[in-house]
This record gives sequence, structure tokens and C-alpha cells, in this order.
Amino acid sequence: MSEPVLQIHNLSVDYPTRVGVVRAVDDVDLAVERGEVLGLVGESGCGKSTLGMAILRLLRPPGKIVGGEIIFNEHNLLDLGEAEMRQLRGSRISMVFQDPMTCLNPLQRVSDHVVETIRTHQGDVSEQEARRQATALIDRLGIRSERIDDYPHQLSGGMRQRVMIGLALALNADLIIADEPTTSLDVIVEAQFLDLLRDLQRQFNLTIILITHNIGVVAELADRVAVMYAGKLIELADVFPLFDDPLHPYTRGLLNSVPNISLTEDHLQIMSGSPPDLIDPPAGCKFHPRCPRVMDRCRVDEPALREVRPGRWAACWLYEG
Amino acid sequence: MASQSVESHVMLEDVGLLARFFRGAKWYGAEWYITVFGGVILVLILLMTILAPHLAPYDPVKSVGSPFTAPGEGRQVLIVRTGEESIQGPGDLDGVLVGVRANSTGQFRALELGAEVKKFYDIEECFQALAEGQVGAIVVEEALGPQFMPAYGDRLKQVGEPFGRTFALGTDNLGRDILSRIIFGARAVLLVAVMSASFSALVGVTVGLLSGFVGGTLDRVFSLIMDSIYSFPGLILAIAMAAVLQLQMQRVLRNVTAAIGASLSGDQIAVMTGTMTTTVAIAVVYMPTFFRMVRGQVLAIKQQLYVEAARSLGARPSTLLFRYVFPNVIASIVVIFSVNIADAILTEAGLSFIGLGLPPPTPDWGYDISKGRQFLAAGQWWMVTFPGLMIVLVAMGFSMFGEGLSEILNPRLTEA
Repeated sequence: MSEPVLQIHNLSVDYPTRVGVVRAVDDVDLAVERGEVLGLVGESGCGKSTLGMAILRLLRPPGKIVGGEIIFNEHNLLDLGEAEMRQLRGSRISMVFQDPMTCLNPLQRVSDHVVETIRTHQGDVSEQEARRQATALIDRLGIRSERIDDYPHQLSGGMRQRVMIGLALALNADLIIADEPTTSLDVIVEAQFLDLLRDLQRQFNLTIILITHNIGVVAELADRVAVMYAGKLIELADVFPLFDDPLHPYTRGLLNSVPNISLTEDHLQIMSGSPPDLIDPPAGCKFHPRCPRVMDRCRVDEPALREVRPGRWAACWLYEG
Repeated sequence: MASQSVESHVMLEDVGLLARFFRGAKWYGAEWYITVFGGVILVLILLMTILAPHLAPYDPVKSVGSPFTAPGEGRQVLIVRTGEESIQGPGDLDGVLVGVRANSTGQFRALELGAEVKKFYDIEECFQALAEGQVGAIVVEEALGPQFMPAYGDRLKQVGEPFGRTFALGTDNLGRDILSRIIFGARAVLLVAVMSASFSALVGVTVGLLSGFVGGTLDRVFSLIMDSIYSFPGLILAIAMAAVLQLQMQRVLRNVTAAIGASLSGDQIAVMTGTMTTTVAIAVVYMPTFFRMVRGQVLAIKQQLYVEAARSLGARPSTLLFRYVFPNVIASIVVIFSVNIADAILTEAGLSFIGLGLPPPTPDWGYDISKGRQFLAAGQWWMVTFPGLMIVLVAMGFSMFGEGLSEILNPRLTEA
């Protein structure tokens, strides 16, 4: 495809805790190309949100990036100063959070949010001009423009999430990180929101990293899928091949554990066990205690993410040699 | 204005004040009445301080009656002079007027009735002045008449009927009107309470915001200091602060007034010293209240997703602090402020009770109570009771207002 917007090389994030260091993101390599939607999936606590926050360098203390680089538009974000980084946030990289109910300042009107975002990054834009832009933006998101002076609590959840997207879009960011954007919405609003997101993505050729644990959302929206487990990237592929034929046993388990109305009860497989304790992770492949196809080698050596077939990347000894 | 009917579906803007008032009561319940009641007390007290010179019947620092006059009572006085003219009351006397009454040692002292009073400690001197026209008349308490008139009746003559003045709340040991002292005393108390609460809010809120927002070592240092202050009993710390500060404050004020070339009398400096000392002493005691509340709220708000979202959209730390964090704490600050003033009033009264407040002639409730306490055993209950009631009333007003407000100032309820 075209040139990558974002390249992550060997990124690792540590959370030092009282009982030991948790490596929440472990040696991740990932590239996101312009105009694509990359789905980042995995269970709770697998490090997908941490990865998202690490890209913006907004990890909550004591979380710390301990290695690797994040190349965004040919600059390594880890070399930038805090002021330069702040300039980038919102204007070049934006974030959409999972809970629209609490993402907006309860004491600021919708217009204040948008105008503030625009004027933070474009100081030369006048108040009136920023307001005009804000109204146009709100309108494009399907919110009637007279609602622009409402406070967040006067809006519905779906409207608030649209406002959040609007804030992310306000300055035509090169990369939008959407962290579980539909988790707190009900299915009908979720479907509307996904339609809107897809339309906007096509219309503006947006680049989106879609962080979610919802396989359905990924299937709906993503071009490529990256699967994370215990801080590691374990499989990376285009969305259709991945759904047709998942390579890694974890991905297979993940897909099989999604209930489907056409499945009979015996077919719904539940993955046994739970994600490993990251303070004291298992040796070798971190998935081996739960893996149905575990081999001797898995308990000792950790597999690296390799291109095992054209366009198919996996970190599993099954595909070695 | 639309009809007062509450039943019809009218917009809030369309109904009259009275209907709106009762609607507020419906909306918020008992808290509404508590807040309104507290607010009414505060407005009345505020009016009283502003209108003190017009409301007070007498000068609060001058002896205007006999000592220990009971509430509602007064003493009749006679006006005597050498001339023949008929005088109905003090209003008929223009120019100089002198009052004379005997104190316990038999000396004659001035009793003020008009604009200007001369004091004579010797009755002969007084006659001399009367003869020379320096004073217009002599005022004698009626009770003294039987002694006075026979002794000096050949030289003096009673003019007009005896007339009296009564004291609604009685007089104190120096013959000063208690009602006037209470009215003027509200000024000192409110000034100190509001100033100290503002001062501690200013410092406590600023430091609390910074401490909570920046965190780390700065937070630990500030928290340690504030918690140390908080660990002392409030009144004891205020006493210690006031005692230590008094001399320093006096020196500073002298230097400052000298530097700016203002000429102030010793009395004025003493009053300013007292005011400033109590203000600072009380402010220090209540700083941690604001600090702890604000810091706690900032820590909670800092974790809110909307702050994180704003940060992810590139907001500056100053923007986060002033537009996201601070506005969300204001409601709590207002409440704490009001409750704090109530506390400060009590502490101020405590300080002046033990003599660390304003210097004596200045009307001050706490000081008046401590004076009155000495005479309580002798049956003069009114010197303690009325200033005490005022302290209770004002402290209660601020408390009720603050507590009620804390229930009402929930942003989710005010809109909708």
C-alpha cells in the first residue's frame, strides 16, 4: 500500500508496581498506512489501550516507555519535547475515548469544546471563524447546529460520541486512535455510529487505529487486524483472511468464542484459563498454558512475529519451518 | 407577570417571584428553606453593619447612661442651669451642654446628652464654666435630685420636666449602650471573619490546585505543611498565632504608615493591628480546610476522562487547570467559604474573649462577653447574653446558608 503514517519499532512499556515490573507492551512492531483502519484487538489487560496511549505519550504514571521508537510522519515521537508533542496531539494525532458520558467537560458547552480545540492549535483563527467551523463540523456529524450551545448532559450518548469524533476531526488529524469508541453505546446507536465513522473514513481518507475487544466492530470497519496477547503482538493480517483462517491458536480461540445465532451450543468454544500474570509471565510463549496445540518448544522459547505466509504475520512455533 | 397559579404549565421565566420561591422549595425540599433562612439572616446582618450609624441609638464607645442599666430601663435626668429660660429637653439647648452625675466616690462626672460634652470632676469648676457661659446647662440624674437640689438649689434652677432615656438592651459597666455596641460590633466581627476566610481561601485554593495538579514532591511538601497545621486544635493555634503576630504586626504597620506618610493616631494603629492580627491568625487556621478539599477534588477531577481527553487533544496544562479543573471545584469552594466564615466568627469571638482581639474601646462581641462575665454573678445577665446571642445568630446564618447551598449547588440540578 501507500506510505506508512505511523511506524512502531520494538516498543516496550513498563509499569513498575510494588510487587514487580509489569511489561504492558512488549517489543511491539507495527506500521499503519495512510487511509487504512487498523483493528487492534485482544482481551482486557492485553496492552492495547496502553499501546494507544503510548503513541500519544500520555501514559499514566508510573507507566513509562522503556524502549523502541514511534516514527510518525518521519519524526520519532520519543525525541520530541513536551511542547512539540502537545502541538501534535489533537492536530496531527487525535484520540476518541470509550466513554462519551465522561469525556466532555460538564461545565463547557459543545461549542466551547470545539472552539477551544481549534484555537489551541490555530491561534490565528478568530473566535467567530472558529465558531463557524465548529457549527459546520457539528452539522456534518448529524447534530442539529442549534444544539451547539448545549451542555454535555443535555446530549444523548450517541451525540456525545459524535461530538468526540468531531473534536478528533476538527483539525484533520493524520491519525485517529479510537479506544473502544462504541463500548458504552447500545447496539442501535453503535451501528449508527459505525456507519458514520465508515462514511467519514471514506470521505476524508482517515487513518484510524481502532482499539476494541469487540470482534464484530473490527469485522465491520477494519482493513487489517492486529491481535495482542499479554503485551505482545501475536498475529497481523488483512481482515478477511484473518477471519477465514486464523493462524495463531489464540486468534482462533478468540473468534470461536464469539457467540453466533447460527451456532449450536456445542460449537461455542470457550477458551480455558485467563490471561497470564504479567508480573511473572510464563516462560516461552506466553500463551502456552492455555494453548490447545502446545508443543515442548513453546514452553522454552518465545516465538517472534514473522511473516509466515504472504501478508500473514504470526508469532507461533506451529508455522516455523 | 403571569398568574400565580402553580398548577398550570408555565415556564419558570413567566411566573412571579413568589411562585418561583415556592417552586424552589418544592424542587429542593427542606434545604431550600434552610438556605433562604440563612440568607435572610445574613442580609439583615449585612444591612445592620452598613447602616450601623443610623441604626445605633447611641455612640457605642461613650458612656451614655448609668452603669448596669437593665434592658428596657433608663434613668430620668434633670436639667438645671442658672438662667430663667424654659427648656423641655436637650434638643432646646444649642451649643455646649454639660452633664453631671455623681459616681460612687461622690465626684461629678459628665453625662453626655448632646453634641459636645465637657467633663468636670469638681462641681465648683462646673459652676464657674456655667457662669462664664462656656456650658449651657448641667444635667443631673433624677435620683441625685434630692441630694443635689437642696445643696445647690440657691445657685441653680431646674428647667423643664425631668426627661429620661431608656436602653433597650441595657448598659454595660461603663454606662455604654449594649444595643449600639452590638450593632457596631457586627462590623468588626464580619470584617475579620470575611477577610480571614477570603485570605485562607485565596492561599488554600491556590496551593491546593497546584499541589493536586502538579503532584509529586511539591504535593508532598504542601500536604505535610497543611496537615501539620490541621493537626492543631483551631482555637489554640489561633491564640498562639495572634500572640506571636501582635508585636510584629504593630511594628510592620508603624513602618508601613510611616513609609506612605499617613499620619495615624496610636488608637487607629492599635485597631488596625488588632484587625490584621486576628485576620491572619484565623486565616492560617482555616487554610488547610480549603487546601484539603481543593486538593482532593483536583485529584479526582484530574483522573476524569474529560481531562484526559482534553490532554489528548493538545490542551496546555494551564488550560486544563483553569478551564477543566478549577471550574469544577468552584461550587465546593463557595460552600466551604460560607461554613468557614461561621467558624471564623466563633474563633474571632474566642480570640477577643481572651483579650487577643481588637483593643478595648472598639465594640467587639467577644470582648463584651468577657467583660460581662465578671458581672454575671452580680445579676447583670444582659452584658453576656445579647452579644452571645448575636454570635450564635450570625454563625448560624452562615452555617445554614453554606450547608443548604452545598445541597443545592449541584450543577446537574440547576439546569434541566
